[in-house]
Amino acid sequence: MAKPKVAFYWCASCGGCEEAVVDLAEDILKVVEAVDIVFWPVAMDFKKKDVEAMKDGEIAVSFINGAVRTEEQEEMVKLLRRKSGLVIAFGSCAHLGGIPGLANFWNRDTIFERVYKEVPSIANPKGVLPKTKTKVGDMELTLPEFWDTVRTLDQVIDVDYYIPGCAPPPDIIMNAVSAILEGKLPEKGSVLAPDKSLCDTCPRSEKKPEKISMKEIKRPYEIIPDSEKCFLEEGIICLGPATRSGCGEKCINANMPCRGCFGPTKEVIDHGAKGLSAIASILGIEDEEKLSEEDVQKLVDKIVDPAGLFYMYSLPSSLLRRKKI
Amino acid sequence: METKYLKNWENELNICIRCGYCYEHCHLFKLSGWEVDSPRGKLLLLYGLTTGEIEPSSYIAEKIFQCFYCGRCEGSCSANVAVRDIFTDAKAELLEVGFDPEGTVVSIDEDFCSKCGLCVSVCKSEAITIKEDGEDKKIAVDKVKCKGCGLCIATCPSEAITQKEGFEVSQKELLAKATNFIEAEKNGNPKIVVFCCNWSTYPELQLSQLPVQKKDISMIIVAMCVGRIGPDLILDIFSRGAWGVMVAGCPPEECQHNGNYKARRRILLLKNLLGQFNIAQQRLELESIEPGESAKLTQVMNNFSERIKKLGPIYKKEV
Repeated sequence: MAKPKVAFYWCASCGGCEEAVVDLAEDILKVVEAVDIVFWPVAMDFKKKDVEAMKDGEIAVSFINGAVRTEEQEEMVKLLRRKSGLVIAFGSCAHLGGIPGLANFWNRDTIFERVYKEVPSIANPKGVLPKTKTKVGDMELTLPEFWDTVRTLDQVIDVDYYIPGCAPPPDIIMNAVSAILEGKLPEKGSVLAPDKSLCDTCPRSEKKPEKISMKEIKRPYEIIPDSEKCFLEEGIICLGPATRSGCGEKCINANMPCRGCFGPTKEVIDHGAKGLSAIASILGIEDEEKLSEEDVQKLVDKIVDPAGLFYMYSLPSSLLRRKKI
Repeated sequence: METKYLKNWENELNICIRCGYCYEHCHLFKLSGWEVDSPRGKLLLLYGLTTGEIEPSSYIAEKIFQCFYCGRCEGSCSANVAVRDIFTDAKAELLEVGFDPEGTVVSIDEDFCSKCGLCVSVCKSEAITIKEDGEDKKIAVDKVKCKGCGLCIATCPSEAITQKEGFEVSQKELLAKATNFIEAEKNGNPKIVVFCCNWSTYPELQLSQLPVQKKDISMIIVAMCVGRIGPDLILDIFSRGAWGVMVAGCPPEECQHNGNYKARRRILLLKNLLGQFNIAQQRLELESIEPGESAKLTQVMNNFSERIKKLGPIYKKEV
């Protein structure tokens, strides 16, 4: 029987998800044995026209990572959707928008101004900016349109499943791939990781006090966290309570708080709002009856960039989507 | 039935003169209009249970467990009946006899609960506990202590805590009310949603001696405590087209759940966040209203409306 055909594609991404596949190490041989990779721009020489030549649904599964922010990416993901049975949003960027999603605090004009004119490392005396069409001699060069707003994959095409993480850890990937190959998938639209938030598996939750409170906010560089205490106890914002588990707490074990890359649990639509609620609910709770309005304002102002912190990976997937410009 | 706790209340239950002043302020009675949903009706049932005239049933148990302990009935009672203490003991009684109703008590879905413990921290009634159970931990809600204020619901980062629908305080119902109002407003009037707590603000609006309030420019939604209103609900309402959201609750030191303190922190942080999205921070406001200050509430709402009218709608950028 023919091996199922599989494609990998990348949109607005850093390449870490491609590396995550390679990170499977020996396990990758099991994957390669079981499937026929028919498209993988970073690693193999297949072209777009090869995909166009396929029948609709011929590709069993396409793994697409990266957020969608250019015309080319939109075109490619729509093409892959037509030609694939299943489309999997691979990694935080495709799932929630990821770090590239933070560009939703800007738009094309401000980004181009900054990147092509303002940064100290650019030498662009004529102030040339990329355009979709440029005449060079008697030729015309074209570039894909660069949208103002970064979108998640499911805001552009129908997505069947999500593999979360920045980047997804090897065991999450292997479990997902095995489930796909064995046909043992949960209901469509599921995120292929456990249903509970990080506190469920966090090694520090055993010694948590009965009532958790944050006396004040400490930024990670301000103290050396105690490697056994819950970060919240020491005033360090950890998004663990609001973030799906399954990552193996790699960051926690490196003595850094969770930043939320796995996104929210199933019932939650806006990751940042839940993270904000969790922190605000317990911030200064011990002395809350004694704090004045100014005291509370000071406490809260210590979180210098709430939008960037709570929506670090999930801005395009949030309720507000982007800064209003 | 042999009553263990309720028999101590037999006299008190008789002190109720059945005047019905408690009706006007009871959220549950307002929803259905049935006697059994009013404090007077519940006291009558409990009297019947205590004297043995009626036998307990799961219907009666469910009704007794439906109360938000806002205390407005006590505040207006001609005879000073200790309604809330009676209901608390009644719940204990019914649980002992073996009933296990849901009522207005919150439920925690163990499939989604990660035992993060944030709900334990915010519950002033100490109704939620997390205990070691061998290798695991188990979370439990004490149905006698739970007052159904919903602070835990707004705090839970996994949305694992819910309340029964039908009392208009579940997330779905609150959101639906706001959404219906926003979508129905087609006359160019500002779309303002005002959340009031049942203790401090809402009942006063019932009184007939209100100063004139500008009609049709805001929707008032009652929750049991402003601590029930989470940032996710507020952001959802803004994203559906609200021009402004006002949250009006008890002043500091006067909220029996300490929910107003949580609301204050959440709203101040949320305002900072909105600023980063280029949404004017004045579109979201938390106000303190003493019970009885109906004039202040009306004034505050009118001022807010004026401000929001000038700001206009939030411009939505399409991709």
